Amino acid sequence: MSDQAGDEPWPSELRVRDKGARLEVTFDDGVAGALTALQLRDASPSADKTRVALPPGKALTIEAVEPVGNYAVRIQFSDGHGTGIFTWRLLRTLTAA
Amino acid sequence: MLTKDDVMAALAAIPGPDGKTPLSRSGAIDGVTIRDGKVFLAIAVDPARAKAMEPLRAEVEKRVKALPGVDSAVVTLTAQAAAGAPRPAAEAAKPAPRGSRPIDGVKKIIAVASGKGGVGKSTTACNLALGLAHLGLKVGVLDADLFGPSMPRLFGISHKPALAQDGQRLLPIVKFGVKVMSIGFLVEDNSAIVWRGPMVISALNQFLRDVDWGELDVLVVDMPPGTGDVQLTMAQNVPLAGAVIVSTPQDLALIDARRAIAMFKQVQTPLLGVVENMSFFVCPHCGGRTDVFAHGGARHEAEKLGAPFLGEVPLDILIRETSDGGAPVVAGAPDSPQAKAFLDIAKRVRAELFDGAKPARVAPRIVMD
Repeated sequence: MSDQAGDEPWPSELRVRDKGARLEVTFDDGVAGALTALQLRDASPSADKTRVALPPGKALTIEAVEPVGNYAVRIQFSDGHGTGIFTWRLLRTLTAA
Repeated sequence: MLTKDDVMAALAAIPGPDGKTPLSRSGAIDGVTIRDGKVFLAIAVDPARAKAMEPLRAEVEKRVKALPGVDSAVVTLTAQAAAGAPRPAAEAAKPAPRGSRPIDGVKKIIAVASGKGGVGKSTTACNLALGLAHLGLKVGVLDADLFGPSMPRLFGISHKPALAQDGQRLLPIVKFGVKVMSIGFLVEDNSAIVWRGPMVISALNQFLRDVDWGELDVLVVDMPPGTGDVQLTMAQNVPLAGAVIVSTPQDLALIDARRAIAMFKQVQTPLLGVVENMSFFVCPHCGGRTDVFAHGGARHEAEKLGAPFLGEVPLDILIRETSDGGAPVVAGAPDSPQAKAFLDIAKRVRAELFDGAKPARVAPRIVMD
Protein backbone atom coordinates (compact mmCIF):
# COMPACT_ATOMS: atom_id res chain seq x y z
CA MET A 1 0.00 0.00 0.00
CA SER A 2 2.60 2.47 -1.07
CA ASP A 3 0.15 4.53 -3.06
CA GLN A 4 -2.00 7.19 -1.44
CA ALA A 5 -5.64 7.80 -2.28
CA GLY A 6 -5.59 9.85 -5.44
CA ASP A 7 -3.74 7.87 -8.06
CA GLU A 8 -6.29 5.19 -8.89
CA PRO A 9 -8.64 5.43 -11.86
CA TRP A 10 -11.72 7.32 -10.80
CA PRO A 11 -15.14 7.29 -12.47
CA SER A 12 -16.21 10.59 -13.95
CA GLU A 13 -19.73 9.53 -14.89
CA LEU A 14 -22.22 6.80 -14.05
CA ARG A 15 -25.13 6.75 -16.47
CA VAL A 16 -28.17 4.49 -16.12
CA ARG A 17 -29.41 3.55 -19.60
CA ASP A 18 -32.42 1.85 -21.17
CA LYS A 19 -34.83 2.32 -18.26
CA GLY A 20 -32.40 0.77 -15.80
CA ALA A 21 -31.25 -2.18 -17.89
CA ARG A 22 -27.61 -1.07 -18.04
CA LEU A 23 -25.12 1.12 -16.20
CA GLU A 24 -22.53 2.92 -18.29
CA VAL A 25 -19.34 3.71 -16.40
CA THR A 26 -16.79 6.21 -17.68
CA PHE A 27 -13.41 6.58 -15.94
CA ASP A 28 -11.22 9.65 -15.96
CA ASP A 29 -8.46 7.77 -17.81
CA GLY A 30 -10.80 7.17 -20.75
CA VAL A 31 -11.77 3.60 -19.93
CA ALA A 32 -15.52 3.10 -20.32
CA GLY A 33 -17.95 0.22 -20.44
CA ALA A 34 -21.51 -0.88 -19.86
CA LEU A 35 -22.64 -3.31 -17.17
CA THR A 36 -26.04 -4.98 -17.23
CA ALA A 37 -28.28 -4.89 -14.17
CA LEU A 38 -27.87 -8.64 -13.87
CA GLN A 39 -24.07 -8.45 -14.01
CA LEU A 40 -24.09 -5.88 -11.23
CA ARG A 41 -26.64 -7.82 -9.21
CA ASP A 42 -24.47 -10.93 -9.42
CA ALA A 43 -21.41 -8.96 -8.40
CA SER A 44 -23.09 -7.23 -5.45
CA PRO A 45 -20.68 -7.32 -2.52
CA SER A 46 -23.49 -7.31 0.03
CA ALA A 47 -23.71 -10.00 2.70
CA ASP A 48 -27.45 -10.13 2.08
CA LYS A 49 -27.88 -11.57 -1.38
CA THR A 50 -31.33 -13.05 -0.92
CA ARG A 51 -32.90 -13.10 -4.31
CA VAL A 52 -36.58 -12.36 -4.69
CA ALA A 53 -38.14 -13.83 -7.81
CA LEU A 54 -39.36 -11.18 -10.21
CA PRO A 55 -42.80 -11.56 -11.76
CA PRO A 56 -42.51 -13.52 -15.03
CA GLY A 57 -41.70 -11.34 -18.01
CA LYS A 58 -40.14 -8.62 -15.84
CA ALA A 59 -36.45 -8.03 -16.39
CA LEU A 60 -34.14 -6.99 -13.55
CA THR A 61 -33.47 -3.26 -13.62
CA ILE A 62 -31.52 -0.63 -11.74
CA GLU A 63 -33.93 1.62 -9.86
CA ALA A 64 -31.56 4.02 -8.14
CA VAL A 65 -27.88 4.83 -7.80
CA GLU A 66 -26.90 6.87 -4.78
CA PRO A 67 -23.48 8.06 -3.66
CA VAL A 68 -21.81 6.56 -0.59
CA GLY A 69 -19.14 8.88 0.76
CA ASN A 70 -16.54 9.65 -1.81
CA TYR A 71 -15.68 6.13 -2.73
CA ALA A 72 -18.71 4.14 -3.83
CA VAL A 73 -22.36 4.00 -4.88
CA ARG A 74 -25.25 1.97 -3.55
CA ILE A 75 -27.40 0.44 -6.27
CA GLN A 76 -31.08 -0.30 -5.75
CA PHE A 77 -32.36 -3.13 -7.96
CA SER A 78 -35.93 -3.84 -8.99
CA ASP A 79 -35.92 -7.14 -7.09
CA GLY A 80 -35.64 -5.27 -3.81
CA HIS A 81 -31.91 -5.79 -3.29
CA GLY A 82 -30.22 -2.55 -2.35
CA THR A 83 -27.53 -3.11 0.23
CA GLY A 84 -24.53 -3.67 -2.03
CA ILE A 85 -21.89 -0.94 -1.95
CA PHE A 86 -20.02 -0.75 -5.24
CA THR A 87 -16.64 0.91 -4.80
CA TRP A 88 -14.89 2.63 -7.70
CA ARG A 89 -12.36 -0.19 -7.58
CA LEU A 90 -15.07 -2.84 -7.95
CA LEU A 91 -16.72 -0.95 -10.82
CA ARG A 92 -13.31 -0.70 -12.47
CA THR A 93 -12.71 -4.43 -12.13
CA LEU A 94 -16.15 -5.22 -13.56
CA THR A 95 -15.82 -2.72 -16.41
CA ALA A 96 -12.35 -3.83 -17.37
CA ALA A 97 -13.22 -7.54 -17.21
CA MET B 1 -72.99 -6.57 34.16
CA LEU B 2 -71.99 -4.11 31.44
CA THR B 3 -70.93 -5.74 28.16
CA LYS B 4 -69.35 -4.61 24.96
CA ASP B 5 -72.74 -4.98 23.26
CA ASP B 6 -74.29 -2.44 25.65
CA VAL B 7 -71.59 0.06 24.67
CA MET B 8 -72.04 -0.62 20.96
CA ALA B 9 -75.82 -0.23 21.32
CA ALA B 10 -75.31 3.22 22.78
CA LEU B 11 -73.01 4.10 19.89
CA ALA B 12 -75.62 3.12 17.33
CA ALA B 13 -77.39 6.38 18.09
CA ILE B 14 -74.36 8.50 17.14
CA PRO B 15 -73.41 9.19 13.51
CA GLY B 16 -69.87 8.01 12.69
CA PRO B 17 -66.93 9.93 11.20
CA ASP B 18 -68.67 10.26 7.81
CA GLY B 19 -71.63 12.00 9.49
CA LYS B 20 -74.33 9.42 8.70
CA THR B 21 -73.35 5.75 9.25
CA PRO B 22 -74.04 4.88 12.87
CA LEU B 23 -70.76 4.76 14.74
CA SER B 24 -71.34 1.16 15.82
CA ARG B 25 -71.44 0.07 12.17
CA SER B 26 -68.88 2.48 10.74
CA GLY B 27 -65.93 0.21 11.44
CA ALA B 28 -64.22 3.08 13.19
CA ILE B 29 -64.45 1.57 16.65
CA ASP B 30 -60.99 0.31 17.32
CA GLY B 31 -61.39 -1.81 20.39
CA VAL B 32 -63.57 -1.54 23.49
CA THR B 33 -62.21 -2.53 26.88
CA ILE B 34 -64.36 -2.73 29.99
CA ARG B 35 -62.77 -3.14 33.41
CA ASP B 36 -64.50 -2.58 36.79
CA GLY B 37 -66.94 -0.05 35.42
CA LYS B 38 -64.25 1.75 33.44
CA VAL B 39 -64.67 1.84 29.68
CA PHE B 40 -61.79 2.44 27.30
CA LEU B 41 -62.61 2.98 23.67
CA ALA B 42 -60.70 4.16 20.61
CA ILE B 43 -62.13 5.68 17.45
CA ALA B 44 -59.97 5.37 14.36
CA VAL B 45 -60.04 8.53 12.26
CA ASP B 46 -58.12 10.02 9.37
CA PRO B 47 -55.28 11.96 11.05
CA ALA B 48 -55.95 14.94 8.77
CA ARG B 49 -59.43 15.27 10.31
CA ALA B 50 -58.41 14.67 13.91
CA LYS B 51 -59.39 18.18 14.98
CA ALA B 52 -62.81 17.99 13.32
CA MET B 53 -63.43 14.69 15.09
CA GLU B 54 -62.92 16.11 18.57
CA PRO B 55 -66.67 16.89 19.11
CA LEU B 56 -67.47 13.30 18.12
CA ARG B 57 -64.97 12.01 20.65
CA ALA B 58 -66.45 14.19 23.40
CA GLU B 59 -69.99 13.12 22.50
CA VAL B 60 -69.06 9.43 22.62
CA GLU B 61 -67.35 9.88 25.97
CA LYS B 62 -70.49 11.58 27.36
CA ARG B 63 -72.84 8.89 26.06
CA VAL B 64 -70.75 5.99 27.30
CA LYS B 65 -70.32 7.57 30.69
CA ALA B 66 -74.12 7.98 30.95
CA LEU B 67 -74.66 4.22 30.56
CA PRO B 68 -75.78 2.45 33.74
CA GLY B 69 -72.89 0.74 35.49
CA VAL B 70 -70.18 2.95 33.96
CA ASP B 71 -68.05 4.88 36.45
CA SER B 72 -65.75 6.47 33.94
CA ALA B 73 -65.10 6.45 30.21
CA VAL B 74 -61.94 7.24 28.30
CA VAL B 75 -62.37 7.74 24.58
CA THR B 76 -59.38 8.42 22.37
CA LEU B 77 -58.86 9.11 18.69
CA THR B 78 -56.33 6.94 16.88
CA ALA B 79 -54.83 7.57 13.47
CA GLN B 80 -56.26 5.54 10.65
CA ALA B 81 -54.73 6.03 7.22
CA ALA B 82 -57.25 6.48 4.43
CA ALA B 83 -57.65 3.40 2.24
CA GLY B 84 -54.94 3.25 -0.40
CA ALA B 85 -52.63 5.64 1.43
CA PRO B 86 -49.19 4.24 2.29
CA ARG B 87 -49.01 2.74 5.73
CA PRO B 88 -46.82 4.78 8.05
CA ALA B 89 -45.09 1.61 9.23
CA ALA B 90 -43.90 0.86 5.71
CA GLU B 91 -42.47 4.35 5.45
CA ALA B 92 -40.63 4.09 8.73
CA ALA B 93 -39.01 0.87 7.53
CA LYS B 94 -37.34 2.65 4.65
CA PRO B 95 -33.74 3.50 5.48
CA ALA B 96 -32.87 7.14 6.05
CA PRO B 97 -31.20 8.80 3.07
CA ARG B 98 -27.65 7.60 3.12
CA GLY B 99 -25.90 9.65 0.50
CA SER B 100 -22.97 11.81 1.45
CA ARG B 101 -23.95 15.42 2.12
CA PRO B 102 -21.81 18.35 3.22
CA ILE B 103 -22.71 20.15 6.46
CA ASP B 104 -23.99 23.66 5.76
CA GLY B 105 -21.43 26.29 6.71
CA VAL B 106 -18.61 23.82 7.43
CA LYS B 107 -15.76 24.10 4.93
CA LYS B 108 -13.49 21.20 5.87
CA ILE B 109 -14.09 18.16 8.03
CA ILE B 110 -11.02 16.29 9.24
CA ALA B 111 -10.83 13.09 11.25
CA VAL B 112 -8.21 12.48 13.92
CA ALA B 113 -7.80 8.73 14.20
CA SER B 114 -5.31 6.15 15.36
CA GLY B 115 -6.37 2.55 15.16
CA LYS B 116 -5.02 1.84 18.64
CA GLY B 117 -6.49 3.37 21.77
CA GLY B 118 -4.49 5.31 24.32
CA VAL B 119 -2.01 6.91 21.96
CA GLY B 120 -3.26 10.43 22.67
CA LYS B 121 -5.77 10.95 19.89
CA SER B 122 -8.09 13.16 21.89
CA THR B 123 -5.29 15.24 23.38
CA THR B 124 -3.86 15.71 19.91
CA ALA B 125 -7.29 16.47 18.38
CA CYS B 126 -8.02 19.05 21.08
CA ASN B 127 -4.64 20.79 20.84
CA LEU B 128 -4.68 20.62 17.05
CA ALA B 129 -8.10 22.33 17.05
CA LEU B 130 -6.83 25.00 19.45
CA GLY B 131 -3.73 25.40 17.27
CA LEU B 132 -5.85 25.89 14.15
CA ALA B 133 -7.96 28.45 16.03
CA HIS B 134 -4.73 30.15 17.16
CA LEU B 135 -3.84 30.49 13.47
CA GLY B 136 -7.03 32.46 12.96
CA LEU B 137 -9.36 29.76 11.63
CA LYS B 138 -12.92 29.21 12.83
CA VAL B 139 -12.78 25.76 14.40
CA GLY B 140 -15.17 23.19 15.84
CA VAL B 141 -14.49 19.92 17.62
CA LEU B 142 -16.84 16.96 17.39
CA ASP B 143 -16.17 14.22 19.91
CA ALA B 144 -17.10 11.11 17.93
CA ASP B 145 -15.83 8.78 20.63
CA LEU B 146 -19.31 8.08 21.98
CA PHE B 147 -18.22 5.30 24.33
CA GLY B 148 -15.32 7.21 25.83
CA PRO B 149 -15.83 10.93 25.31
CA SER B 150 -12.76 12.92 26.35
CA MET B 151 -13.60 16.44 25.25
CA PRO B 152 -15.57 17.45 28.37
CA ARG B 153 -12.48 16.84 30.53
CA LEU B 154 -9.96 18.21 28.03
CA PHE B 155 -11.87 21.45 27.56
CA GLY B 156 -13.01 21.59 31.18
CA ILE B 157 -16.69 21.75 30.24
CA SER B 158 -19.23 20.27 32.62
CA HIS B 159 -22.51 21.97 31.72
CA LYS B 160 -25.13 20.92 29.22
CA PRO B 161 -25.40 22.56 25.81
CA ALA B 162 -28.27 24.98 25.14
CA LEU B 163 -30.91 24.66 22.44
CA ALA B 164 -30.52 26.82 19.36
CA GLN B 165 -33.13 29.47 18.62
CA ASP B 166 -35.02 27.14 16.30
CA GLY B 167 -35.65 24.90 19.32
CA GLN B 168 -34.55 21.90 17.27
CA ARG B 169 -30.79 21.90 17.28
CA LEU B 170 -28.14 21.95 19.96
CA LEU B 171 -25.65 24.77 20.27
CA PRO B 172 -22.04 23.66 20.61
CA ILE B 173 -20.29 24.96 23.73
CA VAL B 174 -17.65 27.57 22.98
CA LYS B 175 -14.41 27.34 24.99
CA PHE B 176 -11.01 28.90 24.20
CA GLY B 177 -12.55 30.17 20.94
CA VAL B 178 -13.47 26.69 19.71
CA LYS B 179 -16.97 25.22 19.34
CA VAL B 180 -17.19 21.83 21.05
CA MET B 181 -19.82 19.10 21.04
CA SER B 182 -19.56 15.81 22.90
CA ILE B 183 -21.96 13.17 24.12
CA GLY B 184 -20.18 13.68 27.43
CA PHE B 185 -22.07 16.97 27.81
CA LEU B 186 -25.35 15.07 27.78
CA VAL B 187 -24.65 12.13 30.09
CA GLU B 188 -23.22 11.89 33.59
CA ASP B 189 -19.47 11.33 33.99
CA ASN B 190 -19.81 7.88 35.47
CA SER B 191 -22.67 6.58 33.34
CA ALA B 192 -21.94 4.38 30.35
CA ILE B 193 -23.23 4.51 26.80
CA VAL B 194 -24.20 0.93 26.04
CA TRP B 195 -25.29 0.91 22.43
CA ARG B 196 -25.22 -1.26 19.38
CA GLY B 197 -24.06 0.02 16.03
CA PRO B 198 -27.32 1.50 14.67
CA MET B 199 -27.71 3.72 17.75
CA VAL B 200 -24.14 4.91 17.39
CA ILE B 201 -24.68 5.76 13.74
CA SER B 202 -27.86 7.69 14.44
CA ALA B 203 -26.28 9.62 17.34
CA LEU B 204 -23.29 10.51 15.19
CA ASN B 205 -25.53 11.75 12.40
CA GLN B 206 -27.37 13.91 14.91
CA PHE B 207 -24.10 15.40 16.13
CA LEU B 208 -23.21 16.23 12.54
CA ARG B 209 -26.58 17.54 11.37
CA ASP B 210 -28.56 18.57 14.43
CA VAL B 211 -25.87 20.72 16.01
CA ASP B 212 -25.84 24.37 15.03
CA TRP B 213 -22.16 24.52 14.04
CA GLY B 214 -22.55 27.86 12.25
CA GLU B 215 -19.69 28.96 9.99
CA LEU B 216 -16.56 26.84 10.43
CA ASP B 217 -13.33 26.64 8.48
CA VAL B 218 -12.46 23.30 10.01
CA LEU B 219 -14.41 20.75 12.01
CA VAL B 220 -11.98 18.44 13.82
CA VAL B 221 -13.56 15.05 14.56
CA ASP B 222 -12.01 13.07 17.39
CA MET B 223 -12.55 9.46 16.35
CA PRO B 224 -12.77 6.44 18.62
CA PRO B 225 -10.07 3.82 18.17
CA GLY B 226 -10.61 1.12 15.58
CA THR B 227 -12.11 0.79 12.14
CA GLY B 228 -15.80 0.26 12.82
CA ASP B 229 -19.22 1.85 12.69
CA VAL B 230 -18.19 5.38 13.60
CA GLN B 231 -15.36 5.50 11.08
CA LEU B 232 -17.54 4.05 8.33
CA THR B 233 -20.40 6.44 9.09
CA MET B 234 -18.05 9.41 8.93
CA ALA B 235 -16.62 8.19 5.63
CA GLN B 236 -20.04 7.54 4.11
CA ASN B 237 -22.16 10.41 5.34
CA VAL B 238 -19.94 13.48 5.15
CA PRO B 239 -17.26 14.54 2.71
CA LEU B 240 -14.06 14.15 4.73
CA ALA B 241 -11.30 16.52 3.66
CA GLY B 242 -8.74 14.22 5.19
CA ALA B 243 -7.51 12.19 8.11
CA VAL B 244 -4.74 12.82 10.64
CA ILE B 245 -3.30 9.62 12.07
CA VAL B 246 -1.85 9.68 15.59
CA SER B 247 0.50 6.95 16.72
CA THR B 248 3.11 6.28 19.33
CA PRO B 249 6.41 5.13 17.81
CA GLN B 250 6.18 1.59 19.17
CA ASP B 251 5.49 -1.27 16.75
CA LEU B 252 2.39 -2.37 18.64
CA ALA B 253 0.73 0.98 17.92
CA LEU B 254 2.05 1.31 14.39
CA ILE B 255 0.42 -1.98 13.38
CA ASP B 256 -2.99 -0.50 14.21
CA ALA B 257 -2.11 2.87 12.71
CA ARG B 258 -1.43 1.06 9.44
CA ARG B 259 -4.89 -0.50 9.63
CA ALA B 260 -6.46 2.92 10.14
CA ILE B 261 -4.51 4.27 7.18
CA ALA B 262 -5.62 1.32 5.05
CA MET B 263 -9.22 1.96 6.02
CA PHE B 264 -9.12 5.63 5.01
CA LYS B 265 -7.48 4.60 1.77
CA GLN B 266 -10.28 2.11 1.14
CA VAL B 267 -12.90 4.83 1.51
CA GLN B 268 -10.85 7.28 -0.57
CA THR B 269 -10.22 9.76 2.24
CA PRO B 270 -6.95 11.65 1.74
CA LEU B 271 -4.29 11.13 4.41
CA LEU B 272 -3.25 14.56 5.70
CA GLY B 273 -0.36 13.09 7.60
CA VAL B 274 0.93 11.25 10.64
CA VAL B 275 1.65 12.61 14.13
CA GLU B 276 4.09 10.84 16.44
CA ASN B 277 2.87 11.22 20.00
CA MET B 278 4.88 10.30 23.13
CA SER B 279 7.83 10.58 20.81
CA PHE B 280 10.43 10.91 23.57
CA PHE B 281 10.72 11.80 27.25
CA VAL B 282 13.04 14.42 28.67
CA CYS B 283 13.70 13.89 32.37
CA PRO B 284 12.82 17.08 34.25
CA HIS B 285 15.47 16.26 36.88
CA CYS B 286 18.55 15.34 34.89
CA GLY B 287 17.59 16.55 31.41
CA GLY B 288 18.42 13.14 29.96
CA ARG B 289 16.26 11.94 27.11
CA THR B 290 14.58 8.54 27.01
CA ASP B 291 12.74 7.12 23.99
CA VAL B 292 10.15 5.29 26.05
CA PHE B 293 8.19 3.98 23.09
CA ALA B 294 11.17 4.01 20.72
CA HIS B 295 11.44 6.97 18.39
CA GLY B 296 10.88 7.82 14.76
CA GLY B 297 8.54 4.92 13.98
CA ALA B 298 5.67 7.13 12.88
CA ARG B 299 7.93 9.33 10.76
CA HIS B 300 9.31 6.22 9.08
CA GLU B 301 5.79 4.91 8.47
CA ALA B 302 4.70 8.22 6.94
CA GLU B 303 7.73 8.21 4.64
CA LYS B 304 6.97 4.65 3.59
CA LEU B 305 3.44 5.69 2.63
CA GLY B 306 4.47 8.91 0.97
CA ALA B 307 2.32 10.78 3.48
CA PRO B 308 3.40 14.00 5.20
CA PHE B 309 4.94 13.63 8.65
CA LEU B 310 3.17 16.30 10.69
CA GLY B 311 5.40 16.37 13.74
CA GLU B 312 6.32 14.78 17.04
CA VAL B 313 4.96 15.51 20.48
CA PRO B 314 6.95 14.49 23.56
CA LEU B 315 5.67 12.43 26.48
CA ASP B 316 5.45 15.34 28.85
CA ILE B 317 4.01 16.07 32.26
CA LEU B 318 2.84 19.57 31.31
CA ILE B 319 0.75 18.16 28.45
CA ARG B 320 -0.72 15.52 30.72
CA GLU B 321 -1.47 17.93 33.56
CA THR B 322 -3.02 20.61 31.36
CA SER B 323 -5.12 17.98 29.56
CA ASP B 324 -6.47 16.55 32.80
CA GLY B 325 -6.89 20.07 34.15
CA GLY B 326 -9.19 21.23 31.38
CA ALA B 327 -6.81 23.91 30.06
CA PRO B 328 -4.99 22.22 27.18
CA VAL B 329 -1.43 23.35 26.67
CA VAL B 330 -2.08 25.32 23.47
CA ALA B 331 -4.76 27.34 25.27
CA GLY B 332 -3.18 27.49 28.72
CA ALA B 333 0.50 27.92 27.86
CA PRO B 334 0.67 28.90 24.19
CA ASP B 335 4.30 30.02 24.43
CA SER B 336 5.61 26.78 25.90
CA PRO B 337 7.72 24.44 23.74
CA GLN B 338 5.01 21.79 24.23
CA ALA B 339 2.39 24.09 22.70
CA LYS B 340 4.78 24.91 19.88
CA ALA B 341 4.90 21.24 18.90
CA PHE B 342 1.12 21.28 18.42
CA LEU B 343 1.13 24.67 16.69
CA ASP B 344 3.67 23.37 14.17
CA ILE B 345 1.39 20.40 13.51
CA ALA B 346 -1.59 22.76 13.10
CA LYS B 347 0.38 24.82 10.57
CA ARG B 348 1.17 21.73 8.51
CA VAL B 349 -2.43 20.54 8.66
CA ARG B 350 -3.63 23.97 7.55
CA ALA B 351 -1.17 23.92 4.65
CA GLU B 352 -2.32 20.44 3.61
CA LEU B 353 -5.97 21.48 3.84
CA PHE B 354 -5.95 24.87 2.20
CA ASP B 355 -2.86 24.98 -0.04
CA GLY B 356 -2.61 21.24 -0.64
CA ALA B 357 -1.45 20.24 -4.09
CA LYS B 358 -3.98 17.45 -4.37
CA PRO B 359 -7.57 18.51 -3.86
CA ALA B 360 -9.98 15.77 -2.84
CA ARG B 361 -11.41 14.10 -5.94
CA VAL B 362 -15.07 14.67 -6.60
CA ALA B 363 -17.56 11.83 -6.86
CA PRO B 364 -18.79 11.06 -10.39
CA ARG B 365 -21.92 12.49 -11.96
CA ILE B 366 -24.81 10.08 -11.64
CA VAL B 367 -27.24 10.33 -14.57
CA MET B 368 -30.52 8.46 -14.95
CA ASP B 369 -31.45 8.35 -18.61
